[in-house]
Amino acid sequence: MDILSHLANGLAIALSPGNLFYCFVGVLIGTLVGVLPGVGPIAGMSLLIPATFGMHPTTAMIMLAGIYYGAMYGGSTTSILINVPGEAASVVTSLDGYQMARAGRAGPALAMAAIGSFVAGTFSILMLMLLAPPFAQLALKFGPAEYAAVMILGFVLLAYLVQGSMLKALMVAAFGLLLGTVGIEPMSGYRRFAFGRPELWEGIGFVPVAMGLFGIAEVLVSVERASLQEVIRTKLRHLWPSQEDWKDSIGAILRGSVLGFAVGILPGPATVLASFTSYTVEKRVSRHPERFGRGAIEGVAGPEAANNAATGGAMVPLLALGIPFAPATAVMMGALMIHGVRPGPLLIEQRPDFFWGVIVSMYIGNFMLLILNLPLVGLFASLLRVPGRFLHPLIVLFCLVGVYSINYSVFDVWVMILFGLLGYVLRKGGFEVAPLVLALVLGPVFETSLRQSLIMSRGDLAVFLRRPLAAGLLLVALALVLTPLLRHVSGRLLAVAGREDLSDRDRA
Amino acid sequence: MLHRGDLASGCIGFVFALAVCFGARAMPMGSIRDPGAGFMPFWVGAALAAMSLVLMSSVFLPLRKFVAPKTGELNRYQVAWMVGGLLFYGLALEPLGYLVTTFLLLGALLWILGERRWLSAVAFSALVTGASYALFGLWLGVPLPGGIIAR
Repeated sequence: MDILSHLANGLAIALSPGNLFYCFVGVLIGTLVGVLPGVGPIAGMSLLIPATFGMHPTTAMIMLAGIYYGAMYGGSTTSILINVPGEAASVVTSLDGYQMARAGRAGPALAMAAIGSFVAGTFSILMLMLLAPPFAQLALKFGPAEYAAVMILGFVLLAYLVQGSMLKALMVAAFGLLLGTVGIEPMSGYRRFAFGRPELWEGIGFVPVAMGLFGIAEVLVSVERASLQEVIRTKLRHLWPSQEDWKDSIGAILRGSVLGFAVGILPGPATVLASFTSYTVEKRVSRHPERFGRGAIEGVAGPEAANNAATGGAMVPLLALGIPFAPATAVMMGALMIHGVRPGPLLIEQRPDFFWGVIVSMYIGNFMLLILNLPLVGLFASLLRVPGRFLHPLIVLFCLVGVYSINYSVFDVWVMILFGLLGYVLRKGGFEVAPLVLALVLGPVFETSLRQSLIMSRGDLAVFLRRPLAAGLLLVALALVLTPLLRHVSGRLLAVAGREDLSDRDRA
Repeated sequence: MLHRGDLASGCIGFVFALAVCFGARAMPMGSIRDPGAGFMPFWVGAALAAMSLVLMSSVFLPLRKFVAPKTGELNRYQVAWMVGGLLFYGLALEPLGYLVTTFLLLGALLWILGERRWLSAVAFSALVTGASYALFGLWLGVPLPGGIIAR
């Protein structure tokens, strides 16, 4: 079947009333979680996973993907209107977007953010559609050694790219891998770390952990910092951008689209990295870099395009390799596995209805978002008038009742509460929680790949070096681990040399 | 300035990792030719122990400087009360039931977060508890714990 017939098939699936409805629900909820500070797309998806249990897997994925890319649209609204980013990927949007709003140009900023997001979102879906099938074909040649190597590189790259200490991120990833070993071991049936609790035989539930880390912990952090947010309101006037705005933005949108998609494919917090990288690039290529931070529209258009393009890029490794490289796609993979769908190289071939249905629904969802976000932006902004003292208890309740409804288990509620506290404590200690989720999801797959590699090579560790792709990936991982160490050592040596130089001069 | 929290994190990580390694040793370890159930937890535990030691050593040997972020005044008491509320919820959900526990939790959270009008707090808690019960318990058919009301 050629690509057009696949698309036609996908269109029929995406346009079915149920899928269309849940696509709308997904992008609407995505916009809402993007608008509301403190609730990001990961928390939004985690909260909604229990609601997908009665759905067809394709419908569930359509809704969850809608939340993911919808949140990128919503995040810009609060950044521009009140200088409070709705989610992390919109932090840089506030730098120039809010300055534009203060100058009475909130309308063009919001419009360009939405248009840029739409163009980039569409571009990234096109690229996803074109790149995922060949990636999947390539991945079919992967053996267990390559899979294990890809996952090691994924953990290391995520740890390298997250904010803060790489060592701490690797520690959290190791903790996540250990959590993934709880329960009945798949190869021999041995019960590990279950402590006689039947609830742990099937492992620690992914949903309670994700809801605790991203729902409860997020609320605790927001409550703690509530007094620190300075909310300044502005008025929304003249929505449509001027000719000059278009001239300034078009290049930024195109660059942001390409850059965002490329960054999205790499392991790490794709959307956040994409927007920051785009902002840096726009400032570099601008003829007037001094305008940045004072209301440059390309400082809004580029990053907003980039964070949307990154959502499509992040779906490539998930759908083609079955390896989520970003925390948000790890949540999606967790949800899909609950639905009995195992993403991977065979998915596109064996379940074309799923793959193409989701792809086409993303096109449709992007149109819906454009329509939702331009005329209704004032309505979404008014949500911010709901005081936190009412909003936070609602989020907590959704987490509690949502997690209970999965297995009707108070044990799961406890797991979520404990991981909520753990997430809060980890953040306070400067530990990123994203690697934990990724490692928990990938842990069992990683263990199986590692053990299969060792069994097939009869315990010869050189198997990872004999296979060129695995060796290359591991070398990159090693280089990434050593880079901070080498940077530190060279910094110390330079500092020592500088001190000696100064004391020589003093003596002279 | 050194980050004392890193010392505590490293210690906890190290003790946890050691416990995992001991637990894994009690499982069939297999060999490198045919790894058993304890293989992966043991080696990941060992890696975590090593990383925890590095974290601790970075506190003793001032390899890097830690600058505390400017956080301003934090609502730590509110967080502590919220945590208390959540723990209460976990303990009371089965004996008291969904309706009573959820109503009490929501009321407590509203109070903790600064809502001092008791009528509005009671109305909000009752409305949300009722709506969530209607949605999950009646419409979606989730068997929410009945507790004292069901008896």
